[in-house]
Amino acid sequence: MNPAVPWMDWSAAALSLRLALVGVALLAPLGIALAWPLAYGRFRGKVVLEAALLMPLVLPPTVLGFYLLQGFGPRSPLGRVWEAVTGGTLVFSFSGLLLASLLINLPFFLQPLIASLGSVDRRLLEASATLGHGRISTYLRVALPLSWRGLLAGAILAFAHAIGEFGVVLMVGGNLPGRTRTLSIALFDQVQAFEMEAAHRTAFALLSFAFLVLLSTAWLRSREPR
Amino acid sequence: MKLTVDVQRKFRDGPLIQAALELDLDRFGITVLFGPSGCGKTTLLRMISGLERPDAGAIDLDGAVWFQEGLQVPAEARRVGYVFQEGALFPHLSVAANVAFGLPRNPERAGRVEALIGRVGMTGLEHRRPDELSGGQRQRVALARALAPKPRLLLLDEPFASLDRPAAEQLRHELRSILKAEGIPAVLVTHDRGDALSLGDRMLRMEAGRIVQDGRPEEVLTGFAANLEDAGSESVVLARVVGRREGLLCLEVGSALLFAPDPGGHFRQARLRIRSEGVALERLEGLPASTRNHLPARIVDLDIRGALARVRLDCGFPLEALVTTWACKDLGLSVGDPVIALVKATAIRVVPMDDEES
Repeated sequence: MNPAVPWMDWSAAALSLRLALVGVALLAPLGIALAWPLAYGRFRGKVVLEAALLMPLVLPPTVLGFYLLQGFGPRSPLGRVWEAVTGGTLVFSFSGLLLASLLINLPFFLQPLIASLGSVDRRLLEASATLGHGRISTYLRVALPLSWRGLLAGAILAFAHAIGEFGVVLMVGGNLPGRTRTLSIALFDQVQAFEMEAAHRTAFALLSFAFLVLLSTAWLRSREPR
Repeated sequence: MKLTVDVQRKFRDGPLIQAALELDLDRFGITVLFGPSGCGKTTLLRMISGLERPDAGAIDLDGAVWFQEGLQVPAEARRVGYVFQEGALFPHLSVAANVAFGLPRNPERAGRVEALIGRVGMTGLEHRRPDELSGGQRQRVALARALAPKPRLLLLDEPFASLDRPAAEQLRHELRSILKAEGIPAVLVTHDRGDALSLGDRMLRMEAGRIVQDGRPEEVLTGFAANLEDAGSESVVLARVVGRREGLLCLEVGSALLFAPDPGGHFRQARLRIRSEGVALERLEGLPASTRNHLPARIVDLDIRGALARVRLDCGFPLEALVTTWACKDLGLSVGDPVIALVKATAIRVVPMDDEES
């Protein structure tokens, strides 16, 4: 064992965890707000919005990362506003990483939630309306509580995906130890440096984590009524 | 307040629903919307509640528009209660929370919830979840939940359809007094004549999307049958109980007395359903007038079709007989003739009614 190589890149692990936790915390209100029109709304352009929001599921992460890099760059409108307000740059920073992570993880959060919302008995929503509750109140008091499994599954999936994301993180965040180097990037580095033992540990940690996550969501779904 | 409804709605594969009606919301009363399944009853109910949008027409309450072209007041703003076929209770909430759902958060809330739970006979089960209740109990909670916010009008969509017979009978028995105690006028959708007769003050009969008859239940149902051969054809009359003996009820219908099997229970008024094929006709001669269930009558109308004849009679109340054309010819019957109608006691079904009803 090479004594120069740490047993685990703890700062990368901590960063991954922080990114995922803060990400999900921000994702939850955003996703809950977006899921309502997508699950129940009838409006022009709904399919377009749906397709746009779900795009990160199929797009190569590097493509997404490339466009985000363009969009977040210091010469972009968003980048300029960000710099004017915070004084820092959006790219190669934790904030930029977080913003990118929100965008790519949104579909992972939305999909199970929308599926759950769609399976709520329509008559319950109608009953709520006849009892004087408007759409938002009905959503928060009836639809959402009855979709808690989908909500939880979405949160878990988004969390897991945030931990594991590689391409976008590399494009937008680069590889700055302690700032933007996440666990999956640390693994890449370890392999590049032929630190195979460390790479094994990192890879196995990520693998076990992913398996646990999928196991828990599968269990949640198996308990879904109907 | 008067609710005026004149709406149209067309579903693919369904009939064009085109219905106009007026409902008086100031007085308590139960209007029965009666008709076969698929005739548009539920859709009409949903349009009144605001859950369904008509294609055309108008709905207004004393001139305040609820629906017209380009304007739909949403269900939550109409204060119209709705009881669904299978309750549709919120599965994540307790009985008490279900009943409280439509009530504003104020100090009176708990008291109102308690009173309603008591009224529908669910006291002691406040903390149960819907999946721990029987079908009948769920429907009671649904009723209490819909009544809690004191709606202007309550709509009930086949509230007994999902219940087993005893539970349905029990709830039917109590429904009228519960609604009356709250003083909330109601529209009840059903395809069951028994429901219509025991609960209805007024009856709207629907067929293929249209309201084809509007009147008191006995008027609408007397002589009503899809076709001449339909054995379901019957006469319905209002009767007062004057005596009981040996399992038979003695009932006063107009000035005539009829004996019929006693369904049990305490009531002083009832509607009688007299099956048309259970009414035979005799000439006046040679019959003692005092024989049971023999009613002097006059023929109002004769409708002969093939082997069967439908004879409409006036015996102080309208009565219909379904006889063979042979019998009709043998007796030499014609319109205006006096006859004796023999009503088989077993052809009479007694539908008890609440005492206070007229």
